[in-house]
Amino acid sequence: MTLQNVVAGSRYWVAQSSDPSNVIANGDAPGGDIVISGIGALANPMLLTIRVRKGTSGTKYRPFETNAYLVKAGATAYISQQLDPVA
Amino acid sequence: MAIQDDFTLNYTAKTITHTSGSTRYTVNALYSWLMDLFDDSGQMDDAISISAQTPAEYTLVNGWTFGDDATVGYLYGGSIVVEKATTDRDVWANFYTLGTIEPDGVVFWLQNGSAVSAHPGYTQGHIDQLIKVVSGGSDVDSRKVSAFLRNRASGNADLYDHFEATATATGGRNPIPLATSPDSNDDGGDVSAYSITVGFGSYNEDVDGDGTVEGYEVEVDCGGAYTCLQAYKYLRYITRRGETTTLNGTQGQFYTRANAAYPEVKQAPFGTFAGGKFFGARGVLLTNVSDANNRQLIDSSGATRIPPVTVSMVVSGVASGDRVLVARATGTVIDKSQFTAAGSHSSATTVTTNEALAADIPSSGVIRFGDARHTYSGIDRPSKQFTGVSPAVTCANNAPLYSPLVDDTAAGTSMSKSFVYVSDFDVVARVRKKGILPFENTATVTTAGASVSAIRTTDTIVT
Repeated sequence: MTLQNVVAGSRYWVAQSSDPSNVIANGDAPGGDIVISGIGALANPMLLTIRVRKGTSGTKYRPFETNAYLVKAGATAYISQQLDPVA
Repeated sequence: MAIQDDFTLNYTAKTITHTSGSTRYTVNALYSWLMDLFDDSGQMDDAISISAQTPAEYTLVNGWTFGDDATVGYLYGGSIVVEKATTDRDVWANFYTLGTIEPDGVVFWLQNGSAVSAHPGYTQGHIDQLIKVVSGGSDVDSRKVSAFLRNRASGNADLYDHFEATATATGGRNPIPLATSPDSNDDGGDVSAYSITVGFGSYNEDVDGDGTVEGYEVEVDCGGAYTCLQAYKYLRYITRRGETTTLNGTQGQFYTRANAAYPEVKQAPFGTFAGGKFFGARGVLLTNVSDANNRQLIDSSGATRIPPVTVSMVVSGVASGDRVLVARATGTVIDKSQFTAAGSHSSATTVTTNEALAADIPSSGVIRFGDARHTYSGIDRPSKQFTGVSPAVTCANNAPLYSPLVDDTAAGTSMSKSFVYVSDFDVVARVRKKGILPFENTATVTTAGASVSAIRTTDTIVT
């Protein structure tokens, strides 16, 4: 699973959509692509929920959430974070 | 203390509740804190609780709500929509006052006929507060909220003001302009004991003395015991902040006008006071005051009604038995052709004239056809008639006549006649009696009337 274009310093979180307690990844983005490997697929395809947030320091971005289907060949999600001029 | 110390989140019930402290925070501070909180590792599994539409408009989303309405009292500077369900939502609009106001003025809120409490910690001055304008998906009074400033403190009373604002469907940040300044006509003294009654209904009075009554919807009856200024103070007293006694079904502190169709007089809802005169709001009848001339009222039709100014012509320095005459004149020449008879009259007790009988012709008095003196007891101005004339008059068509202001024998040391002032005019005054030298002087009748002081000089020659 690859998350592209994640702003450095963001928090990312990936979980199975049908069971959000099954968290596949949860971490800080170093910048650039984030590759999550070794995912145990429970279904093929498996719908994932992807959240990316950055509201703590520096430039802040609006919460981003999307879904993607994970198949045997993997999946790629392009993360289009938008600036949050309000926070 | 920081905002995270004062608010508590319940992730199960999805509530945000103020639980500590007295600090108030901007809605933006709440939003920024929640954005910061929800990007923490432990909160990534929770859907976000708030979103921002603009820097002044926010929404609690994903089922998040406030734990109680009191929590919102600790927020300001922006509006919040609480999306509880598809059609069930609350909108907390943000209202804030601005303008030049007295620093000790206390703003109070009105919504849908009821008072809304000020936010925690508010004491005086400008205010910035969130008020719920949509509850459970339904607008509260079309999302209208009014702010009032009606300070009438002892020794520090201000002119009043109020303003109604309507929030947008999304709440928004709504400015409310207010302006107050000290009231130079009201010291805020205790007038609670004044026996002045205020009634609402249908009232008629001929305030301007034109012979036709006008209609009013509010009667302020001073019982003949109070001046217009005292009435003004009392009317401010019964509409001051904190006055809950109702006026026409509305608490006094929220009373604004006699009729919703009439313009508001925000500084003083029953009428203002300036230059020693009471200027009534539309439909307000101020009556039985001891200084009736100090009124200018507006009847229910919107017409301004000014009471006639009554003035007096006074001749002083006379003695009982003196013959006194005061009549209109040009220089020292009496105008004996002030009027002309309309048609011939024969033994008539009603004399009709060709000329209009203006309001400054006394309603009773004397008319003279040349040297012939007649009294009259009434006047019919529309018909141009002197009525109750005695003795009866017999005269030819167009016979000249005039109406002296004073024409009688003195019974004391002065003689006077009151009448309505219309415009300035000149008079000549004569005082005569055998044994004194004839006295004559001129004067001009003005809004203050006129007075002549006779000088009685003994005639040492007459025998």
